[in-house]
Amino acid sequence: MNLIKNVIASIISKKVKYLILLFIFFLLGNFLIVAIGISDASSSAISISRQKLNPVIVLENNKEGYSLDNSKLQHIISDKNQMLKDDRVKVYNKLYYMNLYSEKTIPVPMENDEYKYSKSYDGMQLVCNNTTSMIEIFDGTYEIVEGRFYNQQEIDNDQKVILVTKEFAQLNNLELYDTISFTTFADIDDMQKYFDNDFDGYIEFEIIGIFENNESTYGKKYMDVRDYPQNTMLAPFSAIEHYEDISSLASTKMMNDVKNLNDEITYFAIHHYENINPIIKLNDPNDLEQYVTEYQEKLNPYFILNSNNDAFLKYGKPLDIITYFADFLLMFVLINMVIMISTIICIFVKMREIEIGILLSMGIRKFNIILQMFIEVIIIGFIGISLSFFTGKIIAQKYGSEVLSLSVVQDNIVEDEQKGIYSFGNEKDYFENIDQQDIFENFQVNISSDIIIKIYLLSTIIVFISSLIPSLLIMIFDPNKILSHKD
Amino acid sequence: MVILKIENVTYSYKDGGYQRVILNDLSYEFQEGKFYTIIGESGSGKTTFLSLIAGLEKVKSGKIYFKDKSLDQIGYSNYRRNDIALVFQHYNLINYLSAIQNISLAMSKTKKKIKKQKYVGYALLKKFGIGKSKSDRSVTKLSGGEQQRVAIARALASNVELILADEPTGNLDKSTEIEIISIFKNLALEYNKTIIVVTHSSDVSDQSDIILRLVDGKLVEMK
Repeated sequence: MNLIKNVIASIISKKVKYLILLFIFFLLGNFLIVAIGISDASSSAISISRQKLNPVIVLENNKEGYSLDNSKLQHIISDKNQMLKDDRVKVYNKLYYMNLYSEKTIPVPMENDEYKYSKSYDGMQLVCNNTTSMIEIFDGTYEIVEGRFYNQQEIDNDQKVILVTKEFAQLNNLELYDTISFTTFADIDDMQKYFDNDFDGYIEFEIIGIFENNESTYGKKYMDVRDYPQNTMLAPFSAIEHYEDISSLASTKMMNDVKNLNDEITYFAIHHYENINPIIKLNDPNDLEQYVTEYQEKLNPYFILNSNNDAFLKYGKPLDIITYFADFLLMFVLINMVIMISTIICIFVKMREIEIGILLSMGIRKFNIILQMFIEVIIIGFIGISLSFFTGKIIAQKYGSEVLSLSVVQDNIVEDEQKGIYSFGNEKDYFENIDQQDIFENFQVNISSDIIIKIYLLSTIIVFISSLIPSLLIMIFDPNKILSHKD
Repeated sequence: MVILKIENVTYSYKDGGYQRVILNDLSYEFQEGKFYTIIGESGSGKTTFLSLIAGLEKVKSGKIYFKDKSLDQIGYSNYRRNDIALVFQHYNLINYLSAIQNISLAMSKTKKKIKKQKYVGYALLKKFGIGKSKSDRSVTKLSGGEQQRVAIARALASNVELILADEPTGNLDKSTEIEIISIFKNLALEYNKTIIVVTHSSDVSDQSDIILRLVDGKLVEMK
């Protein structure tokens, strides 16, 4: 209690000196907030930009790799499976696509029919996956509005369950638990003769869920009706596996018959779900680079792990530059804070030599004298830093944006042809675009409670380090010399 | 009863190429409850002697015992904190604190727990003629005599048995000097404190129980 009273009395008695110290803390506090604020805003913008680019990993076959040493392939397959069981993996898709047609239902018509590619593709598209969730469920592309997603039991028991879009359900007056029949053959009448006795070419599903497909059609000008997001359906792969086998057999028969080829086309069953390459989403997007590097090494040269990293590095470059700038500024400010505050405290200690000599002559512990001085500086420091929060935030936002605009690359539109590189087969493109505007919008300096705590903590550490030399000075003070010199 | 025992203390320092001896194999025993004054020529080593017995400086040769324990055993800082109090010519109060805060500081430094510090502090200051309103004032706003009385009150506040003073009346006028000396006298008499005062003033030394003169590095009893 006495210590605090003494501290307050000491500060009040040295108003001018402490006002100078307060101003220095205020000044340095602004730099500190600018550096930390920019660094944090930039990290956050990197994270948001990464999210906007969609931080997924697409495993692609490396055709060149397959012609190399195939003896390692078994190992590679094991590593490929292992990468899906990694703790960092949140969810993964291994998608199998199947075209569906039905006489009793109609597909949802496209908003702008004039761009429809072909009438013969007027069907639906079944997206099959053998896991109990999908990336699209997590990222909100598919939003279940009624019912549920299929579960493990249904996958294991090959249950024919399906999820349809809200628009498809409304258009065809379908409700949960209704059954619905589809065929994969566009012209089923012509195929009847190739079917076995117990196969009519249809597969019947029970509707267990209705979802909204928020997938964007932007840029997909020449789209088939079946590719229209509202005509997407979801089912477990196990539900259609047997049907696909029989259908393939019928198709093989038909092709051998119709085309009258010399060499008979061999029946090709689809038992290759394990070979479908996954699309992986991690729990933390910041683990992306490390995860990719780790598994790319293992899967070389057979597979390529594509995380759209080139695009991210390209568009994240301004943020990297500003992060370096902020880190440099932070280091510069911290070093200067220590030097300046240390010097000021040393001067203060020297000016208070007699007071310290008196206290030492009374037998007051040196530790207590140092503690009082430390508390005095900390109080002034906290007041100065607190005042600088208001101005620091404004400066950080203003100068952060300016530095950012200076370092933004000019060609910031992802080329359309580049997108093709990242597309997975003929299906979905998992990667999104970002542009300069996104980067600017994502760069927001917010002085959050975490930053405030960080700044106070840093200030305390700085004052502590800055007090080391003055403390040593106090440690070597000799009260006898000080007081005899005074007398 | 002996409170402070000086045993064969020698103190010298180099002055140019010449070794100057200040205290020469000095031995003396200070008794409890007595008021001592030490007089001597300028440069005779009075203040050096006081610094040594105050534990502000370490003895290089010989020993100083406080109640049968050497200062090395007690620890110089501990000794200053718990066993003695110092009164200086320039009062040496903490100038940004009020009189009562200076007293509280002295009370809080010792290992002896003093309850109701503020109440005791005000009572103590009142005893030395410093009323409550003056007690709450910054010490820089008090007169020289009042500051010295606060310094003595501070010495007493830490409840030690030995009070050492270096020219405590050097900055004071005659009437205040008499006042301060009578305070010291009473401290020895009423509170059984041992008072050792270094002075030039014969008015002060005349009031003490024992006058010691520092001659050729040795203490000689004059009275």
